[in-house]
Amino acid sequence: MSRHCPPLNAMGNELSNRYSHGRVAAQNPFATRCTRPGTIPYFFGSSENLATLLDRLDELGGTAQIVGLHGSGKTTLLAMLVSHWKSLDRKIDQHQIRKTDNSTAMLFAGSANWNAETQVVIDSFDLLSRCQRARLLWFAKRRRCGFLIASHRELARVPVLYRTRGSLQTTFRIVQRLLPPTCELIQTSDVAGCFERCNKNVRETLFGLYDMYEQRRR
Amino acid sequence: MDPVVTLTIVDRHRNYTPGETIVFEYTIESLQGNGIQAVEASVLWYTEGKGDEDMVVHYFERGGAESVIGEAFQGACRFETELPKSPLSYEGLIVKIQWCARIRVFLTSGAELHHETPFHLGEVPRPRSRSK
Repeated sequence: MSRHCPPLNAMGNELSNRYSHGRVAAQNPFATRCTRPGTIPYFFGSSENLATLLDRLDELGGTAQIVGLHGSGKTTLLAMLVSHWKSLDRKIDQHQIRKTDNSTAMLFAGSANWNAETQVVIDSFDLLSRCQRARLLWFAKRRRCGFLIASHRELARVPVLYRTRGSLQTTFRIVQRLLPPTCELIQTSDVAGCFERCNKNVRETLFGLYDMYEQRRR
Repeated sequence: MDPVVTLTIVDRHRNYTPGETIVFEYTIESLQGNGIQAVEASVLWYTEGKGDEDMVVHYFERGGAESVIGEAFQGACRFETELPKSPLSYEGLIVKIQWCARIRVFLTSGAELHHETPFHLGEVPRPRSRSK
């Protein structure tokens, strides 16, 4: 399937709209179910792709960081890599660090099972304390597992694999993918304006477009 | 032709009321030698919007190959459930609540067929957007 959101060709009759694989279509193509990491791919620049990224990760010995500002595509890129590794039946230990839950405790508990077959993936690694980060890095090195992290800022002692940047071009490509082909509710100028208002944060831009779409379709 | 699963509501009408029994019918066609491992039927609601999404399963049944189906499965199957009092279908600006029935068919080849049929529970009016 080339598109994640199908044509919503009968807005007043959403009961009949569905994806080609049978799921009910979202009423708003910018809803989280259409835009969350894993549902849309990460769009690389012209000279890069998933294969070059994996090659570079190998060259770096399997331990690296993806760095980028909020809403620039770090989690989307991680989801793409995880999906690739899962297709190869690689053992994945994936964590999303949050300040408000027990994700850190879960991470340390899961680390007991790391081995050379494990690919560890940690999003928002910079939310951990310096001591926690050092401990996990040491542990991953000792267990010889793959260790890929995403961070909002560049962290010391971990080579940078990739820097994500939210660009207007990328945002256009995402919107083009999400919008039904015949939909005229959102124009190019809307995307550009929203992108500027959201300080080039792609995720916030998509949220803004959700609101805009919702206002205009009623 | 690939295997196809379809799911319809028996005696469909626009809105269903809490406490009403809703009946679904599904068929699996064009199996062409594909074996069925299991069929899952569920009735659920989920939220749709900008934030995290919730999903709650109201009704669920799973049938294995030994109980419901086989390679030569041809006919239509039915399942039904009594709809709860809440949450009612809602199409808000920030969040929407969608009800649907879902069929998932797991084939012995590892492939999965999927079909959803939405319906409205209750008659909550659609909020009007603020004019700018």
